[in-house]
Amino acid sequence: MNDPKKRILVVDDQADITRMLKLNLEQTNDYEVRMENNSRLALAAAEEFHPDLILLDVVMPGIDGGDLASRLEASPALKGVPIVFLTAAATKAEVSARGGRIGGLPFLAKPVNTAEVVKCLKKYLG
Amino acid sequence: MNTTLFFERSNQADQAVKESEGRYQRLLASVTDYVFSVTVDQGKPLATSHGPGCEAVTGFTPGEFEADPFLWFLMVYEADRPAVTARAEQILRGEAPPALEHRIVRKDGSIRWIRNTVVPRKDEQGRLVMYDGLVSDITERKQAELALRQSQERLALVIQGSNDGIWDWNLTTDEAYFSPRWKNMLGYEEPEVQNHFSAWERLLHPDDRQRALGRLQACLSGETPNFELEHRLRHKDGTFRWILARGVALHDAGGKPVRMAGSHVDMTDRKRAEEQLSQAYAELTQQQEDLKRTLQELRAAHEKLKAAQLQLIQAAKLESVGTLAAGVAHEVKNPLQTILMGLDFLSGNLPASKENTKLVLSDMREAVTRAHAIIQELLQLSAQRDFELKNEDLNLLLERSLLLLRNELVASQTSVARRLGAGLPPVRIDRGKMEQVFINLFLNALQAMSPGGVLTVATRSDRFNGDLNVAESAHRQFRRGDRVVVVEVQDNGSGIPEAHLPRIFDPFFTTKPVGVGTGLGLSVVKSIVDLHGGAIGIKNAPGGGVLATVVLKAGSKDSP
Repeated sequence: MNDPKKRILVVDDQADITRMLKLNLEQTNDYEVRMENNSRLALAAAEEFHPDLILLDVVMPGIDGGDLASRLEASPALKGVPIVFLTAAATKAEVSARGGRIGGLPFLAKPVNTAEVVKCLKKYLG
Repeated sequence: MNTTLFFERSNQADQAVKESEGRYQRLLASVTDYVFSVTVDQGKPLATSHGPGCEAVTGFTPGEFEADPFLWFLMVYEADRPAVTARAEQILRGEAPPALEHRIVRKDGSIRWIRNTVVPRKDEQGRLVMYDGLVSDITERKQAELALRQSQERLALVIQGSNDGIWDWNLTTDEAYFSPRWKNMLGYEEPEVQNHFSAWERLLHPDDRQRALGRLQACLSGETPNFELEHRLRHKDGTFRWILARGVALHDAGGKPVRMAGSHVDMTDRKRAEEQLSQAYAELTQQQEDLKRTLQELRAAHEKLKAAQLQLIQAAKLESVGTLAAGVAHEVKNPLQTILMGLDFLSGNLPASKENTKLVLSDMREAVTRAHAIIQELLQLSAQRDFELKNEDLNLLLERSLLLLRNELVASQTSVARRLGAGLPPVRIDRGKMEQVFINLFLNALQAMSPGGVLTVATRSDRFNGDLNVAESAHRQFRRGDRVVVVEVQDNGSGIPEAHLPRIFDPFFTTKPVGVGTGLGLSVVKSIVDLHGGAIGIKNAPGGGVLATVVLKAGSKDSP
């Protein structure tokens, strides 16, 4: 791939999940992944990291995924950065029934394998 | 005349006398009458002379009567003497009274009835000088008369005692005798009913006429030995009385009926009692029917209650499973996420030679998929409240569900027989959830069949009539006559053991081998169908295999 690596911010309160995403996505050599396990620090991390896409858990202590998404969208520094939810709070059936969106945003239902995540990333990264 | 001759003669004479005696005695025994004469002077009897027949009648000889001038009076039976005395006085006064019948005591002590007829004889001045009498023994006639009178009295008593009316019809003249009671039974006095057969005919109830005349004819022709008829006769007050008529016919030597007689019994009260009894019986029967129906209704209500209770238990079970699932799912999915991605990572970094390790990783990935499937189905139970109901075409929805399973259908070489009804009314359903229902039913069918099986999918529009294959739950959802859409999914596998059928919708109840099913598929299906206000039933099809029936209320085309 000639393009520079796409930068992905993964926000999830569970470190094992962010770590596995980082390992698998970076193994493809297409992505550079930054992990954030504290939702309160996620906005700052995003503004600093300038990701091309944000993967966002929904149910998190502190600020939940929904609130955080609003704040991220509201940030001028992050304008136009796609947000994809990654959540254990929805089923695959719901994903298809809702056209793959929560609150207008696309989402992936856990558990999801690397190939599905990559497919999704490619879709929203254009 | 010599003595021998004399004796011979004497003997002959004796013989002749004996023969004459014998003849006389025989004659005497046959005599029942004798005459007597009484000479009268100055109104008093002077002498009596009795004819020879007197011995036969009274036992006394004419000589004995001559010897005792009072013998004729002394032989009169004591109780009859006043009448005899009175009559003798009448005669002596010159009157000519009629014959007198009275009793005498014969010489041998037996009592006889006689009839004494007297003819007075007078001189030129009209004075009674003599009277002649004829005494006839009338004992046999008297006895016959007495017997007849007793017989008549007995009959009268019986008739009176039985309170029956008597009729006697002369067929030659059509005259009829109707007893006072016969007439009185119908409110009439003696002269008010003509003694003629037609009187009875006139009183007949028109509806009974044909039957009554038929019975009469049957008896007269000898077809029936007796005449018996329950019929109505018009009472003087205009009402009709039920009368039981019984009788017999008498025929002449030529076999022609000449007379018919019998009785009438007023059976109005009995008939009324019978009617009341039969009415009471009918009422009782009705009450019994009502009771039976009430009992049936009670039983049905009890069954419904039981079913409702079962459903509540079922719902409570599902609710708790759902609540639990919702709580657990999130916590389980995250570790599954880590394991899945961990497996991805390990797989990507495995040397090609490590076949066993690859196999282990593949098994682990399979285990994650299975665990995830269970979580997903559990979540179905907890996530059913937020429905998006829209009018959908069930035929289209079924086609989409089949399309989603095309890989599985091909792999199992299953052919699909479609019998989709045309022009189905739309149904208001959540498309995604209802697809889940049919996908689950199709998957069950596929798993129940050997490769090469036939999956039959049928739809039709119908009126709910209670005998659809959803009896248990449907009565709560539908009323008879409701417009419904029926979907039937049938496989040609080996069916479900009957003992399993009652538990088939229980969560985690499965008949499939371990690892093939989660045991939640049908729980989810039923839960979704119930929440749509529909009904589902599963049974073994008569021709083999399992028949699943889903009944949904038909929506109207106008609603969104």
